[in-house]
Amino acid sequence: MSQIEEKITLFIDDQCIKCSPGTTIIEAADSVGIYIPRFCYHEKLSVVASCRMCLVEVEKAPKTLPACATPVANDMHVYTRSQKARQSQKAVMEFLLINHPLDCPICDQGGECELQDIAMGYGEGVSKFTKDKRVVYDENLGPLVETDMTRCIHCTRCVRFGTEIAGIEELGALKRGNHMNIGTYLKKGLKSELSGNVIDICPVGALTSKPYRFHGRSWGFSQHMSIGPHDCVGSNTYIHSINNGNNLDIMRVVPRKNDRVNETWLSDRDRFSYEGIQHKKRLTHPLVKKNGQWKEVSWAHVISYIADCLKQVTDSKGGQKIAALAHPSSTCEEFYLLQKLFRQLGSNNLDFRLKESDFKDQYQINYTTNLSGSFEDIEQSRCITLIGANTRNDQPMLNHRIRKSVLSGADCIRIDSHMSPMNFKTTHDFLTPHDEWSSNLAQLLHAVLDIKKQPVPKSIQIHKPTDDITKLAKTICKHKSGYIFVGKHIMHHDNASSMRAIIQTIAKETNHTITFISEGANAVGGAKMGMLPYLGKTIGLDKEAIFKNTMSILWLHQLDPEHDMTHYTEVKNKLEKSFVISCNAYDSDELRSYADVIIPACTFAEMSGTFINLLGQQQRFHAALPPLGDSKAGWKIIAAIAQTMQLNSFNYPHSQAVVDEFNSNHFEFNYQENTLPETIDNGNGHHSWVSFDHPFNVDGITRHAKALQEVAKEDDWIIRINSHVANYYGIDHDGAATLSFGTQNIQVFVIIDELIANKTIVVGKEIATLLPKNCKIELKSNHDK
Amino acid sequence: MKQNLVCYRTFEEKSPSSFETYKKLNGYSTWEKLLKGKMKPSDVIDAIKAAGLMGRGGAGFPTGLKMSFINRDKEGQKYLVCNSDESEPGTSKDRFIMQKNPHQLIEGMAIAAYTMGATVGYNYMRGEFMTEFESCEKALKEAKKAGLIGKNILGTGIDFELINIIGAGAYIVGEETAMLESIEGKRAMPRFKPPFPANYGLYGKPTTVNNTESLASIPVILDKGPEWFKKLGTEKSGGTKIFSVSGHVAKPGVFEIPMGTPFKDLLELAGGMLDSRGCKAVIPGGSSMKIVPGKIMLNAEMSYEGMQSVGSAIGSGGVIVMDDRTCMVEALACVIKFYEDESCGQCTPCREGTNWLHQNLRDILAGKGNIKDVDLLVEIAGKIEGKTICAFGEAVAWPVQSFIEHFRDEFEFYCKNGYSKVKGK
Amino acid sequence: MNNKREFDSSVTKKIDTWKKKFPKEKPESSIIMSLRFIQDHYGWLSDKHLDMLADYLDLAPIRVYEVASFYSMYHRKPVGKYVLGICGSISCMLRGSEPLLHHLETKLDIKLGDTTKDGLFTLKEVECLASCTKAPAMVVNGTQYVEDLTPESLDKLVDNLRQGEQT
Repeated sequence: MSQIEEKITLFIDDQCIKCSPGTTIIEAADSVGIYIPRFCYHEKLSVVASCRMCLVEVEKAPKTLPACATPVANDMHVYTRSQKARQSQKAVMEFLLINHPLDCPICDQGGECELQDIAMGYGEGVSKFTKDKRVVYDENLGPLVETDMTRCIHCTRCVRFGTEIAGIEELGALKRGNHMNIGTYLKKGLKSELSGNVIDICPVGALTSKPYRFHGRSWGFSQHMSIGPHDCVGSNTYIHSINNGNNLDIMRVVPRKNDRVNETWLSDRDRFSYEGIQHKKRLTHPLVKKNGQWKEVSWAHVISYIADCLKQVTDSKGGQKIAALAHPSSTCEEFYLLQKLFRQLGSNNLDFRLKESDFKDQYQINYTTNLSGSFEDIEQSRCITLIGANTRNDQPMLNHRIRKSVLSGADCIRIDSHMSPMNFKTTHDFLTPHDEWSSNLAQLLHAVLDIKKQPVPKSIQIHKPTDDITKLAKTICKHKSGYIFVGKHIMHHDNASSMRAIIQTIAKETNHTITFISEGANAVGGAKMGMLPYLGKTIGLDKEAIFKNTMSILWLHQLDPEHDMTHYTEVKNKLEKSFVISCNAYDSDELRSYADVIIPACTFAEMSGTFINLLGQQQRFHAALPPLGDSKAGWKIIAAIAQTMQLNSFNYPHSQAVVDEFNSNHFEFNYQENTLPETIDNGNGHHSWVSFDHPFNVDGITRHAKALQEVAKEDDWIIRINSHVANYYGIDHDGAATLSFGTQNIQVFVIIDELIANKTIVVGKEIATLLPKNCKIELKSNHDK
Repeated sequence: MKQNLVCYRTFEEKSPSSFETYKKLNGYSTWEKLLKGKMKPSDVIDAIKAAGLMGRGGAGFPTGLKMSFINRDKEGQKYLVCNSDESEPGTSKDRFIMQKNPHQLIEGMAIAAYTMGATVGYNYMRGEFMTEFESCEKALKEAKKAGLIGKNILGTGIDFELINIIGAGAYIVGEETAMLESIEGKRAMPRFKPPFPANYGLYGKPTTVNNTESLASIPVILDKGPEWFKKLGTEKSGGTKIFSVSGHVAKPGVFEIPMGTPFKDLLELAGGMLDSRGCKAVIPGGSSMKIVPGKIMLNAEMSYEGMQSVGSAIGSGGVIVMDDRTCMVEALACVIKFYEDESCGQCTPCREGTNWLHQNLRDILAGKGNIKDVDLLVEIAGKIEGKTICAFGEAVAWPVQSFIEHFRDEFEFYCKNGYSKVKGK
Repeated sequence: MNNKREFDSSVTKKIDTWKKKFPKEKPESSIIMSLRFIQDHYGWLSDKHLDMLADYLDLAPIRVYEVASFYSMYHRKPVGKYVLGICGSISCMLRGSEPLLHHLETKLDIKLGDTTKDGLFTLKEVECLASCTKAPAMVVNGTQYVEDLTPESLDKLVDNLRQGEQT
């Protein structure tokens, strides 16, 4: 591998260039900044050489050659602007324009259209074409992507993106010749978590953003660097806004190229969530509940009111009666100051693990240094095991790296209680009933230890591996290294601690890197900032214990418990018994029903902040927009309260001062050795239900983004079961059904789906909020006589 | 003049397509020689080179040279593909080989495949050729029964599987890389070259694509010797060529005649001009080739060099004859409509240009032409030529350029007056 | 989903046999001929048929749609029992294919591209059939060649086909 590569020397427009063999002319030209016009060529997609825009003159070649497909050769002389090259480019440009509607004044792509730009730079200015133009019918690609197919120039970038990057074969070239069009056989829209990228790669206005349609013109936009706030990848983005008189309005979010993080791509969630940012449900004034009535108050009032309440409770009852919970997408600044405030008030009751319930092993889990190496390393991996992790839904750009490794031949093993189709071929899909996770994982460990000829601990011995599980173990053990990603279906499980302990042992025995995929944009930051109950001098209450006890004051930071926590009925009961301070960006009836003080907080887009992604990369961003109404950055609110209470060192002139402080002030994590549980739960053999968390419902912003919600709401009342379970309930096809629990009946829609494990019922969001913990449910088809 | 010496040599026999007839003519003897090691693969290539055989599909690339591009000793699967997609307007020759002399094609494919180390060969016929497909299937069955095709042929350990397949209607399949795409079950979009099929062909494996007539010539060349074959033709154009003569002739037909035969002799074979009219123009090699005025053709000889000297090419051997009643504007519009219908659509100049050309010609025929349209047609053709992935671009451009070069007055007349100069109002 | 749709077994049998002509790992190679088998059996190719074929060959549906819309012998709309495809390319045109086409339009009382009310005939213009030396030529249902056409021979053909239907 370490052979010295011979370089090729060529000349483009008389500039001497050295590059590796196999490089194409366009790559060589790009590397030195010589621009050759192109439409079908895209650096991340395969080469088709069909648009013919990049024709250049190559000395000794009789015809002009496509720069995108012609490999360089020694002593090659290429001319990109010679008369011959220009003639070819002009001819192609003219052909491209004859059937293009030239409706630039009403086209969203106007101003940032590659066709427009290249036509200006390389075209003729006038066309001799006077005939009728082609008209193409539009496709309905769903609520995110708008189509104007008459504008299409047939570059097929979108088709190749679908097949090569997104792993969905839904777009294609239909018909032929002059009648050829890009289309889909689908009547319902693209089913990809990356579909919005076709908007970026489309060089014309054929594929544009539906939410953004007719909203703005790119040349009036301000551009702000930002970070995707919904997952632990931290995709790099630009926020585009426009000055509408008094305000800056957010217009859209587009990817910012960073090959170490998201390359040139962006997930639909990061792209379209901006619709939630300036939503009419945003809180704009501090609110205080007095005698059951909500009153708008001033900032000065609310700060001193909260300071008083905190002081009163801590003075009389001590710090242990107050607690703070924060959404895992809060910024480092917010996490850091929140825990600093509470610890100074004598409380270590701090948590961001909102949907988890089993913390028995919290000293054995590394919440901070998660994934070592880089995302590129994942592409090189030969074996990836996903346990309870749906990376395609929840971390699309991480999934993209996994997909690349699988395309280059890696094994991918999925173990889960419920799955959805992947955009690549997995080696094994193993379904475990929700209640039998521990026993199946124990079997896997058993099989691994057998293969490794290691003694099997007593608690594991009774879990004899089945043939299927032995197959999984063999595949994993075949590889000397690999990745094990543990996802939220494990983390949220009631038995998570024993499951994690088993998986950690498997990882240790196989030498595969284990990663607990962190939730939200900044759970790693949450841990590093000390937002965990056990990092103080005394150990505080974890989230589960906070709700087992009754807190006098509960601080909820950027979270809506009915969505961001599980088993809301039980949670609400406790909220009603506490004085709840909610620092939130969004108003809702539910919030007003349990809260006592509401402080309007900025979203990430209106403040500076820091997210730490799964790799531990600290990514800082600045405000792209001014705060909405009277809302304020979370960290400023916390600092103001602390200053009012005259607590030590809360005087920060700017957020960078907070960053400087936490970067020089590390928490000590004293990890304990991983220990296997003494007994392993075998499951009770009954059916059990598990909630399906739609990726577009992860936080307030996505829950208020209109187009995303159009997609997400489809799943709200859905029940997914496999055909065995359906059979058990006498259901033989998809359709309406009645779900009963206790004495209640609700109407649901059942989908029979073989990617759901036996004895497992996956319920949509709206259903899940109604169901009490561990309740028994019955299903009955509505079509029965 | 001697006819039917090579590909059509069984045609005068009683049951021309039968195995027995072919065996009687010393058929399969070369294949057996090769199988028994009495002839080496390199001998085959040398003989084909010496015979001067050029690709009979239209491009005229030397067949022996093409076969030598494949490294037969390289490990891995290799493929031979026989291009029986016969779709070039004016061309109707290969189907008769498949109907009446299928065994010679089978032997030719077997020899070519073995020479290149290919163990699988596909014979891709155009979608309408069900009769030809059945005739090839029947012959294949006979050859397999005789142990000449299949696994471990005649106990030599040599394998050759021949597979007949059939398309579904697309002229562009005749382009060799489009044919490979089509065999792979895709839209027949020509591939960008390089890589060439010899390196990256069917399913990514080294592949050679040859025309039916080229492959069917091979057994005879090897049986009778390259010298015999070469001497049938001229110095630069060895052997015989099949010409299908269509259009305004008294007896349209297919003739396998020596290269270098004067055009007027070929015309005579076809019964002379229909109704003894004057010969206005001829497209000598299928509609993609340049049109030649009749008086020039009448002094030309049918060979690669002969056609080159009159500014055209022998192409696929589809000789389209037009008499003096033919309106050249109508004829060109018909030719261009074909290319508009058949463009695959991937390259911008071809997709957009063919449509533009045809719209222009339609408007001229509708009396809506403008004198400037004549130059515009030539200009559009020039903008397509040389700018596409495959030779389709040239196939569209050449007719336009040559029709207008030779018959500009008719085009200008139509534009000016709104009716045909030849046919009147 | 429990709404399985299946092809007639005679069709799947043909598809299975054809599949053997190609490497096992290349199921898409059989799309082209499978579509013909389906069309031969059902008369035309509906979206449902294309989805079913994709399912049968375990391919993304768009791959089948792309192919079905590319090749000209496939009918994506219902057609008559006899599809008459008259060649309109240069050699046939020179021998008078255009008047013949008009003759048929009158005879069948339909326009090019249409189907007769009784569902018997669809009239199409097709590109060169490689029958140039027996021009004008046509194909009936894609593969049955009828050559050296005259108005009289066309009349006879249509009449015979009609008569065959009545008996």
